[in-house]
Amino acid sequence: MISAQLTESLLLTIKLAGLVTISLVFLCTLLSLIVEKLPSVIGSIVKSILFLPLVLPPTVLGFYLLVFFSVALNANTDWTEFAFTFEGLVIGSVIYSLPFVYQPIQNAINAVGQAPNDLAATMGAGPIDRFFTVTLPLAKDGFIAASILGFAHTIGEFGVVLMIGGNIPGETQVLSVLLYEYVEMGDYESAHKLSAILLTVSFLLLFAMYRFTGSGSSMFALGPKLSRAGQKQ
Amino acid sequence: MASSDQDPILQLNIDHRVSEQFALSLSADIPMSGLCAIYGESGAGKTTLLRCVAGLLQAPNVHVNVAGEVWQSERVFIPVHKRSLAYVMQEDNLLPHLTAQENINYALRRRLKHFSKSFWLQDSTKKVIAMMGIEHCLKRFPEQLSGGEKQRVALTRALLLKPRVMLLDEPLSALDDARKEEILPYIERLKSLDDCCILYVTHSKRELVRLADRVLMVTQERFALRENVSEALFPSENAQAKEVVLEASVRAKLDEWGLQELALGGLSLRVKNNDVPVGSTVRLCIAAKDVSLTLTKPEHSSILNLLPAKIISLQAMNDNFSVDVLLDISGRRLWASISRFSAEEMNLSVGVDLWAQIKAAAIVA
Repeated sequence: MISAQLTESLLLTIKLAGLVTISLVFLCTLLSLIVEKLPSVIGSIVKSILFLPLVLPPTVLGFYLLVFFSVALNANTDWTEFAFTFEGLVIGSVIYSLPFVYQPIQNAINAVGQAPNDLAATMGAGPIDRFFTVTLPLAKDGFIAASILGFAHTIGEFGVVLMIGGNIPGETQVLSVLLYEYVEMGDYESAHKLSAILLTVSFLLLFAMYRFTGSGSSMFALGPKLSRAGQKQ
Repeated sequence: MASSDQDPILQLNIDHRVSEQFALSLSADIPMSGLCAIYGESGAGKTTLLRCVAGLLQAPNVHVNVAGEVWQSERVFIPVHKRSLAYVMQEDNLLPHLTAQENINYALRRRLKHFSKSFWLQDSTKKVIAMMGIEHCLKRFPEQLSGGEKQRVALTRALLLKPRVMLLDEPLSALDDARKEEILPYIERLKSLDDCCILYVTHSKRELVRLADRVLMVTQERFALRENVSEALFPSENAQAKEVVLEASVRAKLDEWGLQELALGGLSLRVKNNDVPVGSTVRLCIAAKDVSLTLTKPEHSSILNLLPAKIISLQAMNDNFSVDVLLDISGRRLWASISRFSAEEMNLSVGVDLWAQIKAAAIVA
């Protein structure tokens, strides 16, 4: 029984983290391309908003999302259906994990710089062509790091999930919430098992990121390649 | 506007205020053949000029017309990737994640209408690859190539593209002297392209003399197109260590002496033999300090070249002890640098006929 619950929760977590990661990689790539083009004041405002989840207690974010969903309820729109559903969790997680995907992607794109783009342009490549044949391959490490961080961070979230998702098995009961339930119920054996799983998976994900992409791509360690781009900001 | 029907030209009209202190302003009609050097002081906007022509710098008041095709004007702006050009900078001319061959293919695939893998099997392609000596580089990534090899790959790419305009921004300056010598002949081979205007930014007089068919000189931020490189480089009165570039044609080879005879106007000069064929034009570099003067024709001298000359003017130099003498040698001008002592002892003055002994004359191109 417990084992089946754990499996269900594990699959749900992977599904959530996977969906969130894929959405975020696309969203953040677009955002970073747009934000870079904005005038510096507006760019700073937009970035500050995007990075709020980094400093806000997740419960604050969850609370506002709930408020948003319930306002939508009164306004009689489709948004109301998202509270306490898997889709609602996806929306909340996308917002919550955004900085962790955005920053490595932006760093990596900045580190590629203008020179290779200019070079490709003189070789006959248009802007979209350049993005896929120059920026993307050269910023590959940053995209891998961003995906890993986004995935890992989504697995690790708790506050937002509890606020907007609750604890519905098969719908919103992800691993971190399940662990909380185990502890509340006094089921320490299952709690140990689950904690060990989460610890190992998290370690392996981070290890993979540092081992295969170089610390330069992560948001926490600006390597020599990136520190130049970092100074310019 | 100039007659662009007969001789295709690259028409540039640029009036671009880069910053408060600096404006790039020029107007030039450059023939669409051969190599036009852009030569002069640094900071004059030579690189900015190339970036304007390429379209990498989207500046107002830039007009670029390539043999009748408007690349840029008030209303038109053809983006960089749609301009038929090749650009070779000092370094970093290859995309780091592609091999040399993939780098060449990257450009060919986008620029040439009918490009396929069979392009590499054609004799003409093989000839170019062999001529540029990069067969061994093709499968390697840029980081596995030397600086000189990387530049050669970039130049090969430019050559295979056959663009209308080739922009070379000090392509040799990141290389050491030995590598420069090694690559110079390859750049000469770019000139074999028809209907292609090569703009070559350099601050090396040697590269200029060696390569340029014409020169866009920059002095005090003013650009002036000069069709005659020797004339353009003729040292002014106040220049230190003057060097004159003369154009001469090879008249005969004197193989038994290891010499060759060059025709300089009606006169002849004997210089060390090299592999330039008879009839071709060469450029000679003669330093003022290698020219000495004598009033009577010496009978027995080890100096090979003794030419009749007439003094055009005398210029006392800043150091007070030397005098530079401007000579007319069969219609060509030449500088001789002598001591003030000799000038007074020989009683030199304007209009005096004498003999110029040329101790050394180096063929540079």
